[in-house]
Amino acid sequence: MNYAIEFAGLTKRFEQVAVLDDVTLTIGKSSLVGLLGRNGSGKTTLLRHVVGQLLPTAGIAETLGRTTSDLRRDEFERIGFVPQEIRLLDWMTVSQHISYVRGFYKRWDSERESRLLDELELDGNMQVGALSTGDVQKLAVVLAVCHHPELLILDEPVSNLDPIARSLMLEFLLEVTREDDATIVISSHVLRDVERIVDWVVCLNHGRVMTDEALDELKERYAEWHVTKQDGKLPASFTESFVVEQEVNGREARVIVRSDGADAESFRAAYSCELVVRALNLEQLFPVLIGGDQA
Amino acid sequence: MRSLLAFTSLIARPATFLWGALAVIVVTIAVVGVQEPDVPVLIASDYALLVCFGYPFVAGTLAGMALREFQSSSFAWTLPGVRSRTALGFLACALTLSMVVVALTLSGDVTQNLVLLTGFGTASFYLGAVSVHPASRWLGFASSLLALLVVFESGHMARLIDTYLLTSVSLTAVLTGLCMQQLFGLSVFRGMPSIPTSPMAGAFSLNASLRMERLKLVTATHTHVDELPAGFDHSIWSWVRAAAYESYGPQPVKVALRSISRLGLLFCLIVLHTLLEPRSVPLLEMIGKITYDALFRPPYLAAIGDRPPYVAVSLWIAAMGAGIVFATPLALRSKLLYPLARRQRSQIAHRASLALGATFAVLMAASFLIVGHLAGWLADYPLRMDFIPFFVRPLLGTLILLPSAQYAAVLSLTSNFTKQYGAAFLLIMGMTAFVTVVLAWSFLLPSVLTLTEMVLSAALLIASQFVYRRALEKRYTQADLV
Amino acid sequence: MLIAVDTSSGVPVYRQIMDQVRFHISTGMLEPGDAIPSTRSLSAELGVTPMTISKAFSLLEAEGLLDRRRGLPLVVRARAAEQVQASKLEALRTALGPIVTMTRQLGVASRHATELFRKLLEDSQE
Repeated sequence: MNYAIEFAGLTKRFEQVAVLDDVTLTIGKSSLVGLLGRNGSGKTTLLRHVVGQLLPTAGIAETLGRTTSDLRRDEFERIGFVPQEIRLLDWMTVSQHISYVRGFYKRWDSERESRLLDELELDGNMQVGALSTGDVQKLAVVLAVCHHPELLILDEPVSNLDPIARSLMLEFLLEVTREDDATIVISSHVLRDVERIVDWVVCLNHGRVMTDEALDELKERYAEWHVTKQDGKLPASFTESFVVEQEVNGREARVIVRSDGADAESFRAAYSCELVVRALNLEQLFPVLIGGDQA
Repeated sequence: MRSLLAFTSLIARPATFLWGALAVIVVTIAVVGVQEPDVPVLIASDYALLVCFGYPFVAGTLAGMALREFQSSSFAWTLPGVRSRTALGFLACALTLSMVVVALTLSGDVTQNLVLLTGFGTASFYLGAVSVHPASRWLGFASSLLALLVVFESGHMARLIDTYLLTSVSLTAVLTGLCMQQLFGLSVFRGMPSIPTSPMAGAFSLNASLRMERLKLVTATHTHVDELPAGFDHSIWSWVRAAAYESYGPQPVKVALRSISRLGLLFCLIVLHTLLEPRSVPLLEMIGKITYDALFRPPYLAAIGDRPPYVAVSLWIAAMGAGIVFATPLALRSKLLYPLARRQRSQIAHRASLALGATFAVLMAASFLIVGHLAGWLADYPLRMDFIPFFVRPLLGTLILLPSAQYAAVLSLTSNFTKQYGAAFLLIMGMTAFVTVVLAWSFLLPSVLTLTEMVLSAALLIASQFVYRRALEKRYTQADLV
Repeated sequence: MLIAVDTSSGVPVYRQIMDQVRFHISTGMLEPGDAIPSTRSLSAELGVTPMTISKAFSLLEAEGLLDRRRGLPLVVRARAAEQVQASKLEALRTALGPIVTMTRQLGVASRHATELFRKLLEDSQE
């Protein structure tokens, strides 16, 4: 069991609608994975399978080496989970809620707890019901990380945070990977944030895994070429297999390619054109990653 | 110790058990006081069962609400050992509580079997929890029925338990086991956090902006986003129809009939009451007689049995009223922004309340009349209309008080779970007081509505509506709405 | 050693780090024997995962720019003069690539371009 999460042929249907469709995915230990996809692409459903809250219609789901339907106390001691829709006990105060949750775990890092409360500016005497959505989100993260989980699942953990809190939260998550050697899976729409901390990217679209690759690898492989031809016209479209997206306009073209450096030379030679290569960041890559990529 | 705390700290909310205790004491005194004014409440043997069952039951409903709230919280599922710990803490609460209650109640009476009563108390704690928990509807229904039986037929039940001791103990044990399994089942813990808080996916006036694929998917069975009511013309009644559409979906009549079907439980209770009574005539005829008497209480017939279920009937009418107001209110969704001025919203709210009250009154009266006359036919009574049926006065009383409940419901839209928690018990106490007053009213006055009574009722009805309307206007124009 | 990374750039962070360390070595800001900050401290400073840093460092080590000694921080390796010269030219070559493309796109003759480059160099020396 070298994987923190292992899905094989996982399919989940709600009322005949397949929300996850034959997902095969492994997430290794001590990696920081970004789970990306548009609304309704199945991210939350996937993460709920990880903690065994949903059970697959077909296929296998394992977390920390155990089938998710039989996860028990030992595994939950090692998992931290921040769900997308956070519902806490509104009538408790922040510190009551923390000590309530603490009672369930064998180990609890009070130092991390107080430092986080301090850094995130959460008031222990506030009632949970009176907290703003952002503060609830912060509290949910505090509740999920103080037992030093090996596997931390975060479903949109920063969506309601202001830029400063978001930055603090991301710093903290990086620290968690450094200190605990934890595996973190984080789903988010804020690609800039994901890009900052993750080293692996999984993209879902309509319940299918479209991309499952290291972020560095993606950035190296994909590039945008600005093609110009001094004399004569470019063909109406390029048929090379490494061209993922293209926009040709007479003597000028903009193509997105998935290739290594060698292709550029041969392309230049074949069309006797000029190439300006531009690297793509995650935000620019995202439409490509959820769309065309069949890798 | 830590395991026990996992549940007990959930119900450690201040005032929780205080409300419960107050409610039970009031209910007990009222029920016993109305039925047998000369019996001291806490000493007579069959009332011991009532109290030892009743208090844990009410406390159990509170515990069940706390458990439900906890289980539907999204952080609960991943807590290590959450099921075993809460189950253990829950059991500890049930045992402690029933022991305390038994000890307190029976100090003057040595003939009771303490262990047995503690057992029943523990069981009723679980039954109470199941009755408010969505885990199993059937078990909830059964437990409510059982609780009602013990409350209204405690004499009969005590006798039954004495006669069939072993059977009743084993039945109770099986029922409790089922409750435990339903309350702490894996699927409950797994499933409840993923149930969306609001079952309906949106309101028609904003449907375009609310089309969330994911929510629609999960709530596929409840969604009616795409169906617009025909003939919407922005008049107040049109908006009331819209409110009906948003509250009950495209078939409001179905919802109304479904909520009236809860009267079935009352008729179950009456039939069970008949079964427990000693009888000299065929069963069907007996059921007819008792039902006719319970609903109509005609002046020319003597009451049958020593405790006819009048209390149950009047309490039921009040409970049905509270039920439609709080469980299936007719209102526009409170958190959405409609193209309506605040004053218009208050008018719509009032008109909707009127419509709901009228529907309630008509449906209740119709079903009582139909069932009562059917029962009279079964019992071979001649058809007579020259008296005012018993149920009319409780119904009138409920209609007079309905606006205050509706106003409380409007207020509760902006309050949190904790406040609603205490309000539930205020409601129980209010209903109990109401039943006592209504029964006194019915028993003391002749079976024909006097002119004064009629004028007074009409005046009160109009006055309560007027006050309600003013209160709504004030609230909608001056208070925060979300 | 000053390193700045832009996580939202399309260039992988480990490459940005490698390029900057290489540049520092070529310019002589980092001299042979100088210690490189530890993976942990640099990752905390830059706000990127430790894996990214160690990837960059081990690739630099494989290139022969850094030396790893057991239990001690990484240090800049001493290299022969011709190797240093070669890597300096390599850095310049990479930087000139886009200029060459642009020259061709603009249709400027190589003769004029080299003349311009030479002139710019001479001007900056004055």
